[in-house]
Amino acid sequence: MSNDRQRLNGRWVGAVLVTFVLLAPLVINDYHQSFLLQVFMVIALAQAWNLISGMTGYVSFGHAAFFGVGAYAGALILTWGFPWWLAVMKGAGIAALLAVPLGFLTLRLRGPYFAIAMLGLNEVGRVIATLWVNVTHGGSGLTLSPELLPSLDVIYFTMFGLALGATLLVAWVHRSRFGLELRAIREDEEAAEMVGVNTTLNKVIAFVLSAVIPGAVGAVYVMYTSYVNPASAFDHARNIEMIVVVLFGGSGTVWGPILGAATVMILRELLWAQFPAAHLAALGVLLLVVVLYLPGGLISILRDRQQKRPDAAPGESP
Amino acid sequence: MTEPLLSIRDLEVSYGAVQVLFGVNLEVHAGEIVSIIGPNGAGKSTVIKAVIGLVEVQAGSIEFDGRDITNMPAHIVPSLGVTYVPQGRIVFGQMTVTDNLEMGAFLQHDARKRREAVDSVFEQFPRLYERRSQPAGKLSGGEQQMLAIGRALMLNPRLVILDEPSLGLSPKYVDLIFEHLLTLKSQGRTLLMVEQNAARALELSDRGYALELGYNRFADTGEKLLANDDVRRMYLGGA
Amino acid sequence: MNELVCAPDHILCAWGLTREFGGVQALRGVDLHVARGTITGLIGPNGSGKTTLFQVISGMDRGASGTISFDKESILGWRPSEIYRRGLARTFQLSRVFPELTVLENLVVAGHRRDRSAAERALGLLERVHLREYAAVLGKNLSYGQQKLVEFLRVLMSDPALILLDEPAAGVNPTLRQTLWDMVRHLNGLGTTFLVIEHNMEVIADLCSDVYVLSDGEIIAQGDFASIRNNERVLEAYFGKSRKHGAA
Repeated sequence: MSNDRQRLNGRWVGAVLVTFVLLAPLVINDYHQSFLLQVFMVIALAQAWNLISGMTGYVSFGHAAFFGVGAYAGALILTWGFPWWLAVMKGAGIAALLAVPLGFLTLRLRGPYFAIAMLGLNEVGRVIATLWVNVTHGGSGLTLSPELLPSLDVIYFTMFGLALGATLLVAWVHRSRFGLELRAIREDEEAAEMVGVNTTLNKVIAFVLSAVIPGAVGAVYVMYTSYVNPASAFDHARNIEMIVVVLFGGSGTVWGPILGAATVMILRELLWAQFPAAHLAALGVLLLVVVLYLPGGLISILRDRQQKRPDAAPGESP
Repeated sequence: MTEPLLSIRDLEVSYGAVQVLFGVNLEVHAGEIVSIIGPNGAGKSTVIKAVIGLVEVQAGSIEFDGRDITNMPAHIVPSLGVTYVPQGRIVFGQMTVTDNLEMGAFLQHDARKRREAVDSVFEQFPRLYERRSQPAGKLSGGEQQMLAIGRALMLNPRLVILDEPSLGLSPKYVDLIFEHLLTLKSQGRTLLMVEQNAARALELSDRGYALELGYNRFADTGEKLLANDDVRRMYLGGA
Repeated sequence: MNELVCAPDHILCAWGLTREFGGVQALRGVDLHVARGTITGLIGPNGSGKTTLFQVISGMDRGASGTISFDKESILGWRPSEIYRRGLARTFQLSRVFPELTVLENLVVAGHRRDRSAAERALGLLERVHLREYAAVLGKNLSYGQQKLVEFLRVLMSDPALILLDEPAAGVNPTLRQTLWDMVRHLNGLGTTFLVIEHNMEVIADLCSDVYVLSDGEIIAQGDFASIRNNERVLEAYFGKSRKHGAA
């Protein structure tokens, strides 16, 4: 299937899904709407992780840190009486602001060291949230009274907007010159540098973009749960979830995270929603499946990759 | 005339689609030191890798002590009496000198014989004995080379093959290593080596083979090759 | 010491390049002057520091001291991508084609960011070496020789004034090798300067108007190949010094 054909099909499927999402609140009940909301959240986070880790190859084990920052920023903005959309913007803004210096620092590290540094950042975030009691109320967390919060529909559509935005961002990056440079960095960073790619700048930009989304998502999530504390904001399980969802769906692709998120969330509903403690174990099993049987993720099953090399080029001895 | 200990005939080796040896011939008699010299790309290392079993031979034959060992798996070769000192002083950096030597006698199950072998290596290389409990990574380049050679001696081989023993060593250590090689010969061992430093290698060798781009170019005694200006010029493509 | 000035007809000048790795001197005060529009050779025995020199000049190794002047700018300490954008490119001894990118993507990423016609240029280059139909093939699916050729084309995308070639023909079959050298000659005719590391002396003799010999981190000779070939010091560097025949 040629690239253009694929893209057209993708657009049709996308259009159908978007229509469904927009109309859904009219027909489904609150429970299902919440479920969809959570699916959107996972999609948005997955695409953000995809942007830095899938495309650039810098695997982050701590991106939930930006989610946590956004959650607290959003919660505080709301408690100070500002409108919800400002909370979302602030969440995104603070995350971006932090991502710039953090990016420059952590992106010097290669491979496992980067992953662990990001993990460390997540823990640092949690500790600060716990200790900065004046602002965050420490372990007890912040509770938001209902009148500060927008309706479920608003939250639903905002989260959907973030999921859509994240996906479109990944799609754009994928086709852009910027995305090409990111992939070159993933393949061979030194060689990319040698052919003129400013690897530092590119990596930091990708990192910041990948932080902005979780920042916004965190703020929206707080509005949904009306409560935030260090454990839920900097939840390590969320890190794992981001990673497994993307790998399961297909890292570095546009539809992979969507497929992965939808599949994992549905499986969860059907199989282990009753046993929240089993969530991490289930993710572990999925990870094993990916590593052993599906290194390219679900996407690799659905996609035909025909990269045939002509048998012998003229001028080349066989 | 005695049968050669090692006999290589019409050896052809290719790496994938690229052929590097085009019918190389070489003989080593027991008790000799034989050197393979030649400019870059001559295929010198490939010849000995073929003997050891690290590369596949497409055509030709390799015989050791009357046995055909062409394409014999590399892990069998040491048990036949042929050991190898690879290029670049490959030693286990975290293990002690003694343990490194023991690794060389991996095939020797008799602990007493292993200890005897270790002792005899220490006799040969007192410097190694001094450093016997130090991690190999802390040794100087020359000492590491001694260790690599010592390790190759652990199975009491008939033929020791060395790949560029002087590479990366200071002149002092080059002298030392080459002295040790002479001593090995006086003990009745046979040595086959590839050397970048052709002059020093030929000084040391009974005979030598000069290869160029996968072909035999010159074969003679060490002395005669040393005196032959054409051999020297071959390095810059002029002979 | 005279003021270090690079003559106008020299595109690259280096003075006193020194690089040490943990006690080992890989480069000891290397001086090098590459004349514009030439194909200059860089030869020397294994371990003499040739690749280290390329690493330093191209910016991949920023730990050297000395001075490097490229096209009138001092580039020591610049990052590699800046040096490349300035017009100095280099290839690697072992192919570093991006494996999961297509051949076309491999080339386009090396072109100018704002160049709309990068894809066209890339296809044109592929055409010249009869690889046009491989444009959509992933880098990893090419033969090694084709990879090296693509890597060579890659650095041409930014139209560099000086190209450092590190054994470009190593591991390449004879037909492709000829294609490669023909392209080098052709580009040189159009004004591109080359500095080439090669072990094949025939190629050096054939192609290079000027040759530098590096041994143990030092330049020990410079000149046309005919004079190099008979230079005692050079012969000794390659062959070694025999103790019996006395010091040179």
